Amino acid sequence: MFNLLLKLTENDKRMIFAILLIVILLFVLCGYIGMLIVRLMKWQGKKIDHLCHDVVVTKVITDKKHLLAYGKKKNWRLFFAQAVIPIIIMSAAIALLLIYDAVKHDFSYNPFDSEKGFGSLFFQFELTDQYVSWWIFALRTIRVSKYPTFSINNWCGYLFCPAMIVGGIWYLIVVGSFMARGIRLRKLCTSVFEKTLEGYNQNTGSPNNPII
Amino acid sequence: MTGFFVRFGKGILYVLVCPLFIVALAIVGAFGLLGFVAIFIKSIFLFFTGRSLKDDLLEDIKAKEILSNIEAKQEALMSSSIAPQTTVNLQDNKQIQEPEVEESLNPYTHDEIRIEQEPPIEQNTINVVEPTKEEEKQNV
Repeated sequence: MFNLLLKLTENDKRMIFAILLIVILLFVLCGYIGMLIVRLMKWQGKKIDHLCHDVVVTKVITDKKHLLAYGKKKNWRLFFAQAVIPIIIMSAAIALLLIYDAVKHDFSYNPFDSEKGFGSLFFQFELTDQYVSWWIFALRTIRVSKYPTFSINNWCGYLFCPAMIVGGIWYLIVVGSFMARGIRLRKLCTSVFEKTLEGYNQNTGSPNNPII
Repeated sequence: MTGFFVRFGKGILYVLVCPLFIVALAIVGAFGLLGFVAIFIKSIFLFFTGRSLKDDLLEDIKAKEILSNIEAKQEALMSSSIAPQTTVNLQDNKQIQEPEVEESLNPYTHDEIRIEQEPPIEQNTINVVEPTKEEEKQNV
């Protein structure tokens, strides 16, 4: 290892430093994205407070199990209401693809295909034989192998793929909020009916737990 | 600088946890799809029985009743504009100023709710003892 470091040229060392910096920045970026997701889920989880507020405050529900059952019902209902649109979008896309395949008598059609599908709208790259660096990661240069082309014959792929991507991401966001509400509900079940003896003295009492 | 390192550390943590989160999301997503289908079938059944998934649950109806009763009471008290009363505590011989109407009408105080749920005190305490026939004769 030490011998290898001695053999490195100044250029190689600069490259290592640059790669390390990029990796650190990538992790920091992941940290920001993760924090954003956590905050988003906490915000989504707060909706269960709104759903369960009245029944808890009016003491219609007075125990943990009842609140959990009620909260689950409410959570499923909200999930159903939120998931209707993305599921309709995805179902319509699948139905379109099936009809297209049935009409063409070709069930092997790939809507993501780079020639006859959605992939034709994007650049395609391939690795060349030229090496940027031979000793680390064997980095090679890339070149464009295919430029984007639009063909009206690929309409099924153009409709199917965006619909599935939009519907899928939308559905995953709805599932994430469903999970967040479930986690929040379980936390509420323990905190709302919590009886604590923290700071309580039976002889003196405390403001939160007065002597009966 | 410490914040930068904290984010870097969190980034590593999130990268490690990310696959688990994606797996959990996929499992819940698949489970959710089954649940969605079940609720959809249930909603069709409810539709043909004249009900809907948007109908309030039993708990919601009870809560709404309690809240509407409290609101009605509030409005009645506000319209009558009751002046703050004074009561004398005989034990301590002190005058206690009762809180004004606005303060005592917080819809979320437990005392108010308890009043709604319990029967009126008069029904429990007043016992009307009817005179027997012998007593009536004696009186005559």
